[in-house]
Amino acid sequence: MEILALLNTLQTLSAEHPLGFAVIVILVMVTEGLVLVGLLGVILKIFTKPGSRTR
Amino acid sequence: MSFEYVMSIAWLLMLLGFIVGTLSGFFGIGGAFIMTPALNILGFPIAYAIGTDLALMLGSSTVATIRHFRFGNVDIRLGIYMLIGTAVGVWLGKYLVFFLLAIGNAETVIRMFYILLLFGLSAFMFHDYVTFITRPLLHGSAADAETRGTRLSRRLQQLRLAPLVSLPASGIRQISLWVPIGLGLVTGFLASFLGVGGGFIRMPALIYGLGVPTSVAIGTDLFEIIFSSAIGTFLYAMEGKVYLPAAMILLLGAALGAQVGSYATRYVRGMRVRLYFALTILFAGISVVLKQVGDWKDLPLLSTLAGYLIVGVAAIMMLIIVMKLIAGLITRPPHGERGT
Repeated sequence: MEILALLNTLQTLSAEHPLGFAVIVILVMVTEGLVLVGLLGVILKIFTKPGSRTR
Repeated sequence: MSFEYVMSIAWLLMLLGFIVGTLSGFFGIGGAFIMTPALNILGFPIAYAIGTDLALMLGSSTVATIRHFRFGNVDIRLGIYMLIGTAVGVWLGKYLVFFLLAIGNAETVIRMFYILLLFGLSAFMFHDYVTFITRPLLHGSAADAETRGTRLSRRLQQLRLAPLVSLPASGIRQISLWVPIGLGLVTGFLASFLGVGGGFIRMPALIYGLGVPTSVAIGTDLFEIIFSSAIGTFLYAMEGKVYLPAAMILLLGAALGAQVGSYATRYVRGMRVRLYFALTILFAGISVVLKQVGDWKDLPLLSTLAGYLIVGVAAIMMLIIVMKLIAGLITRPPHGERGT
């Protein structure tokens, strides 16, 4: 929630620093994607018994 | 668009993200034709809806590509070759749009072409599926039908125009480098001309044009979407048209959905994936027709109905994919590495 509020503040600065804002948007989305992949991977590992993986 | 409003619909955005993420991971598409009208219905001005959706696509395609890569479904070499052609195709498509704008009536021509393409692709894929189920002796097993490719793909693979390259991840021993570059050029041109991401064009193009197995076509298409959505996000963010908190909330749902969709491709046969895809783009076509008629007759209700229709169909498709995955996990092991 705090992170989103912080990003909302950043949104208001987008008009002043468009290039910086564009770079931050790309970095934030890719990083969030990577973090979520890792997080979901860990959750899957916990709930999947060894040897019963799909591959 | 206030921060408080976005937070008040956070759960709805997450659900929407999950729906589009599931379809993205399953079909190898960005899902802009679903997400943009949905965000517009929720009150996002159209430029913000497109920009925010592009940012979401960047995150969700990254998630889905990583998952498909682990399944061996991403042909990076093919993706890079196609990117070269795509870059040229996008430029040519943009040039044609500007030309049409200069002579007038561009929007109607583009919308009509979009409708024809959606219905044409849908009809072709339906025909392919019906032929497959009604003439089993001709096609052999599902695996045979996948690996044999189409007449077009066999002809293109036989083209001996130097330099020749091999694409082992796609099961192609030798092919002229100009074929994937040319295919990228055509799909990039169409995507740019229509003003769409192009995932729904590239996926069937890879299957029917190059003879790539369905699941590799999905994974490789997602790999391409990372780059195309990154460029789109950058351009829209430069104009301040990306609402970052909304994109982040959408990605929470989409990341989970993208993994669900990617996993489901291991339990659903390639031919069945093509059938679901044909159904989805058929309804996308109907939705665009409704929107066009709404614009012509000045009936905003029809445009809203078009948005609800495509979101409703996407939600039903998501439920089917989730049920297929659950049924697959309970009853049978996943099929082969390439989803045949």
